[in-house]
Amino acid sequence: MEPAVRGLSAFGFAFDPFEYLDSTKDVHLQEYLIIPKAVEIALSDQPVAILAQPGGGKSALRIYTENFYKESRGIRFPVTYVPDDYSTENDFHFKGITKSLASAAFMYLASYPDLFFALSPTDKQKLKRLLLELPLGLDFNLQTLRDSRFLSDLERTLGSPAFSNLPRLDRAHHQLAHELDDESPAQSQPLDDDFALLNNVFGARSIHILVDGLDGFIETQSPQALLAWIEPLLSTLETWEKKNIYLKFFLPMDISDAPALTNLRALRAAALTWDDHLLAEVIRRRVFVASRRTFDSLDAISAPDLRNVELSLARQLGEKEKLPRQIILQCQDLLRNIIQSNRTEILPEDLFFSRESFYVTAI
Amino acid sequence: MKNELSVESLFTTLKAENEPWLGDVFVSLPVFERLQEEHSTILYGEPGSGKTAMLLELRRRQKENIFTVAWRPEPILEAPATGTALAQQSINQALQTCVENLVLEGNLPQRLGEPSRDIGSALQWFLHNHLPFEAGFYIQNQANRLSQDDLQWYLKLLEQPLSLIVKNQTSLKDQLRLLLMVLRAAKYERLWLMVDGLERWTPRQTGEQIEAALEAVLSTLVFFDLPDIAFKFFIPTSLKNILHKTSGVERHRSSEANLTWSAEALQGIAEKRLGCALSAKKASLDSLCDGDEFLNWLKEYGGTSPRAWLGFTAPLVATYQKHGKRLTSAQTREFIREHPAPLRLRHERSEVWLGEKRIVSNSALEFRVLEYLAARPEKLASLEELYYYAYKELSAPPDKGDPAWSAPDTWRGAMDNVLMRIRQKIEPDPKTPRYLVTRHGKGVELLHHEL
Repeated sequence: MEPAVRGLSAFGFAFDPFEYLDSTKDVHLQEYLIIPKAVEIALSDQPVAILAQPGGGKSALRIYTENFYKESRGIRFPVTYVPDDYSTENDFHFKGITKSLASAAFMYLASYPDLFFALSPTDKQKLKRLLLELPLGLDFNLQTLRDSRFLSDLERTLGSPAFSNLPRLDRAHHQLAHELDDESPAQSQPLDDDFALLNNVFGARSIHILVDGLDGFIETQSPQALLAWIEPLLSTLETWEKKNIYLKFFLPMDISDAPALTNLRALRAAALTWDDHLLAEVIRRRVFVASRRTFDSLDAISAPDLRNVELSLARQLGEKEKLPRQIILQCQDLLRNIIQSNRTEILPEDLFFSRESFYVTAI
Repeated sequence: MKNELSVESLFTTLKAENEPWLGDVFVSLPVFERLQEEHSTILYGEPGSGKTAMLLELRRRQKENIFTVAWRPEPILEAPATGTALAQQSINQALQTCVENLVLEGNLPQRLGEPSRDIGSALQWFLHNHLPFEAGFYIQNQANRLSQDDLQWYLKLLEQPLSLIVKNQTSLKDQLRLLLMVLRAAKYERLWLMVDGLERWTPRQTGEQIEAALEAVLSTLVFFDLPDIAFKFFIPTSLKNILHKTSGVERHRSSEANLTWSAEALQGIAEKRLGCALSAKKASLDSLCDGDEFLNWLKEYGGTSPRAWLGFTAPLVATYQKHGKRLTSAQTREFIREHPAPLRLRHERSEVWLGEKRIVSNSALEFRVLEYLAARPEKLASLEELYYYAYKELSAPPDKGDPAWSAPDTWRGAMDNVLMRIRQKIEPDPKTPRYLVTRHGKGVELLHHEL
């Protein structure tokens, strides 16, 4: 057992509750994510913009939302669109969404393979048409489907989550690969028809397109440039809403005052902001899950005279640092220092250690 | 340690990439443990602070299921591209490094055996598109690095008529996902991309173009933002500002850390290397000399730089080896006197440094005296030269009768005072100067000065 793991188990943790700064890699996110009231609209049936600072939990909320919708087994169908690239082509985002839609549809089929066999020939052809848009092409993905043993293999290849927890791939998947291979595709179809296909074939009553990672490019650093880039999407909000297709943007906070956004009546915006008590709750929830619901505060592993450790940590953060990522990092350092000192208890002096050499970007 | 290593190689010519014994002398820091975690990490350090050593040791200790690639980006300066397009060119550079590393160090023939069709086609595509030369030519020219069997495995793979997976419209991120698939098939669960060598850029190139090129490299973080990829950036502290400006870092969920050394850790480095030099399992600075004098001197002048600590320790080890016994306190004091920390002038900031210690002086006059002497190594300067340079800003004393000329008795006292003040600041013992030495009747000389 490595020292860090040994140290964590001495605290009573089954895993490191502060391991991940990157929510996309955090397998326990769904169990302990805190969602402030204001941004619960991310889970509602309407177009939404969630605004937050970098490190403020946008991607975590996006992943939570995706998982939340996945639970509905496709009735509220999530599609995550994170642009892979920057381009000013008019239909760039729509092509990207088509690709994401194809990935989600493929994962849905892989999650419920029997569904495909009962479809009408026309729907099968239309589905095949959509799946031709898969990243790296349909042939490659079918080959992967044949060669893979678990759904998680496909998830990793496509970067898109499965809709069910099938333990392993079986004969039905091979049959699916075989039938899809043999099927002839329908004629090229507009994106609206792809959406309709999800309604008809998968029984999706609403489609939730989660748009994230827009501010990751050199060209989209200014709010104006970012808004100009997503303008084609903003102008489809109302039309799509009427068809129960909801765009949900996860955007940087500095865009919040831009008139192009605030003047959009169809879009409800909410800011993901944090105060000391919420940040303390972020830690408590993680401690609760990691301790297998045995205790819900770092107080349980602190010296008897220490109370409200999480809140003390949150209060130490500077005004601009009051973000989940920062307090998680602070706890990471706290536990690491204690493990390195071969202790199993937080002492008062631990709460005032220097964090000069370790800090996270994106404040 | 099989062979005894020379003092010079262990203490002076420090270049981590040329130190196959690095693992034996490596001293870990908490920051190194952080680097070993799965997160992306950006490590800042001054030149000579041991960034490359950290990188190499990280690779050496790497787990079987992590494929590590060391990428030393080359500046793309001629390209007309900007922004994301420029970042994409950087990614292509990174991909080329990944594929080359995969061929040369990935043990793919053993790990993949008979690859499935999709993995075979993917690998074939990477070989054709991301090697520096035509794939077959490149592979055939690796006869000295690949076994004959491995060579044949690659050539056979290249000959197979496999379907084309990657098309023109395939995004770079999808290409990276594909590369991860190949890695997973070869039982590598993760890819760690270690970026180093950006120091080479700064002294040679400056200006907006280099900044854009650097920004492009640093923005590649966005493209590599995939679950099974981690970045380990080893970056000179001087580039921190540029890095913070880049969108890649802003969005990326990476932690940052500064590579700094405590005196205890630096002592640890020196003693580990000492152990190698003396072929001893354990060695301490105590075994070289009596008392704490040398250690205290190292702490004062060695700063926080491993390079300085080791450089200053090297002559002591050599002296110890020559004498064959530990130096007494008196001998240690004499050794320190004979081997003072080098004096350096930083002209752009008018700063005087002894080793890694900055000498506090606000006097422009004193700096000009040192500057004059430093520009004439191994030469004596007269008081007259120094006076006219320091006070009158003349490169040579004027002739008698020149309006700038002054009688020596009007300035001699002032010059003596200036020299005395300099000595008080830089000399450990101003009564027996080691740096600013007066040769009676001849002039003044600056010793132990380093450019």
